[in-house]
Amino acid sequence: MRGKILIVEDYADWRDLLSGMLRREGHDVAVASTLQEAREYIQKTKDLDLAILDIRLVETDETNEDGMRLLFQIHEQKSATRVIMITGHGTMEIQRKAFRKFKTFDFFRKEQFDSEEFRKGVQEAVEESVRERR
Amino acid sequence: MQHDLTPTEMFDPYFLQTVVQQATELLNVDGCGFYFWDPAQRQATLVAQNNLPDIPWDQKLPYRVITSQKTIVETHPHRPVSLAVPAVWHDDARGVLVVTDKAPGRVFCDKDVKTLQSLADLLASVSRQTQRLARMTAQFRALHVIDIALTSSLQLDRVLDLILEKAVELVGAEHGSLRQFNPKTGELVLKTHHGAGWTREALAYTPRAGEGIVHWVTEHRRPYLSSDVRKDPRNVVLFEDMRSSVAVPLLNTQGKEPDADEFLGVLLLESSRLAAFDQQDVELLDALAQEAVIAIQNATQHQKLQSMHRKLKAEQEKRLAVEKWAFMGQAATSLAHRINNLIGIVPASAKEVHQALSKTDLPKDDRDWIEENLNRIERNARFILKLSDALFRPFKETGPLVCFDVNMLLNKALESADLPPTLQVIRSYGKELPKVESSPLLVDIFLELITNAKKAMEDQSRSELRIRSRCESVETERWIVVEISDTGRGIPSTQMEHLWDMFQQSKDGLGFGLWWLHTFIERQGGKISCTSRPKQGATFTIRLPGIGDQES
Repeated sequence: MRGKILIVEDYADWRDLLSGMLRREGHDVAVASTLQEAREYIQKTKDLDLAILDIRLVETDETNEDGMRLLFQIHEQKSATRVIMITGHGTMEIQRKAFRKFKTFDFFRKEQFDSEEFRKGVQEAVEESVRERR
Repeated sequence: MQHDLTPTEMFDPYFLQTVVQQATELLNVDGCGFYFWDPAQRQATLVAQNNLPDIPWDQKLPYRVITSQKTIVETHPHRPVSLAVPAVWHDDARGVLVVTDKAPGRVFCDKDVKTLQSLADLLASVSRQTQRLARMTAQFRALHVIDIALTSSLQLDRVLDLILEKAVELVGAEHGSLRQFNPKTGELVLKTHHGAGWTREALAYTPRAGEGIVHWVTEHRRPYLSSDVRKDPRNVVLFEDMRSSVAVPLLNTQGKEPDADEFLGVLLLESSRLAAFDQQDVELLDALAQEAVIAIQNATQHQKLQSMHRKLKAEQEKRLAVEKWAFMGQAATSLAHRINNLIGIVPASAKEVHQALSKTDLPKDDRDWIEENLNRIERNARFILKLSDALFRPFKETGPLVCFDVNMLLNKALESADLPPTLQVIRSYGKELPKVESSPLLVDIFLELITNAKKAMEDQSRSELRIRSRCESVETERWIVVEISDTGRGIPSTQMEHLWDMFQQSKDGLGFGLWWLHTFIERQGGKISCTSRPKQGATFTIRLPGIGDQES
């Protein structure tokens, strides 16, 4: 199943790798490198199936929460849209918070990135979202 | 009370000479002499005379006058007549004044006796004054010496020793003790003592509440004076032969309401003589007690300042350490984030290339060569990620600190360690230990040490893992000490020096293990140390600051 996916990632290489991977799978992929860009895209896109968010969007974001806030916003506004979090420096605590408080669909760490698992996760999220929207 | 003044210290020789000349002239006699009475030796010595080529009276005459304390007229048919009067001040005999006249038929009338007696009284009174002066001088000297010690020394024990030494000397006591009051326990703790016979038992004796003279002084906060303590049922006998006793309280009255005196201790002196002390001694001891109070206050103040200084310093060090760790934590997180982003992408990208390659038609040689290089890139990138993880591990923010019961954590670590049944675990845990505030990773530290111990004992015939925990108090701080000992191979002495350094390559690791432990424990405000001898195992000791009361 093909889905509409937004990737929010400040590292260009990761943005390109992930979007490249998913486009090759046939998904309709948009990218954003900042929070602002991401918000704008979410506002104007009604049928977004999945957002892939980097938790720590800005290097100087000490609270690690920019991505989290966006996750929360998406969850509030678009209940059908699924969210997958990725992080470059994830602690167990952040991971738990993402799942429990912000109801993230899946969670990936860049230092132990498994592309097969990622593809699978994306596929499942898109399927769930589409199912819910029907 | 003391009398041990020599005749010349007691009487000015010129004064004595004047008196014996006056007596000769006033009574119109041939000659006059004055005997000095030494009560210790019970001996009278002629110390001044006027116009006495030889002694016409009986040699025992002065002794008889002293013992009877009466005027004696000695007459013999063929010898000169003599008149002897005692020089006495309040029952205290000082000497005998004797006049003699060889004129036949000389008789001493009442007026003569009165005149001579008044001269003798004058001598006694002067001797009394001299003695008082001498005593006061000695007291002033002693107070001066103590004052010098007070202003030049903060060593309480030294000053108290000196105060007791001077007190004993000035009042002529044989035994003395100075006890400091401990308001927490209510005990009178022996600080310094004087005299013979202080056995281990006597030294260890601490009077119980309501017991003995010192407690009477403690309760009533006023001096005690007894001329015969054997008659006082309150007395607790430490030294059998003691008869007189005097004790004063150490009261801090400065700047306080009279009824809010701070009681600091008791100064007690004893003598084997009956009625050895008088009111003047009490006054003197009161003054010395004041000096002791000042010494105790000085020392307490000094100790308070010192402990405050230490506390401030420790707090400052702690604050600096927290700042340092926070800064390093931020830097490490930032750096780890960057490395993970930059290097984490390498294996992910390599995998994509692998996949794309599998769908591409290529000569086998070329494909092998590309894959071989891709594997190399991937492998090295993964190694860098592993290194980065190990390096930043101790600096990672691990969330808020949690209060732990160390014994519980040790048990948890033991459970996770999956120890073989052949390994004997001996636990000796301290009871009711204060908790420690630490990162939740503390359990991993214990687990790592236990796992290390397990590995060290793998090929050993005897394997025994000993885990101890206890609490140590250093001043106001409490430390939780955990010891993990094994009976394994031990650590060669050549390795001990660099044990905690990075890259001390273990058999199957990156060489970060002990460095991580060390850095992590330091971050928790603790310390870790190791003792080991080859073939005799190793002991790792962790000290962590304990928090709050034992109940918290």
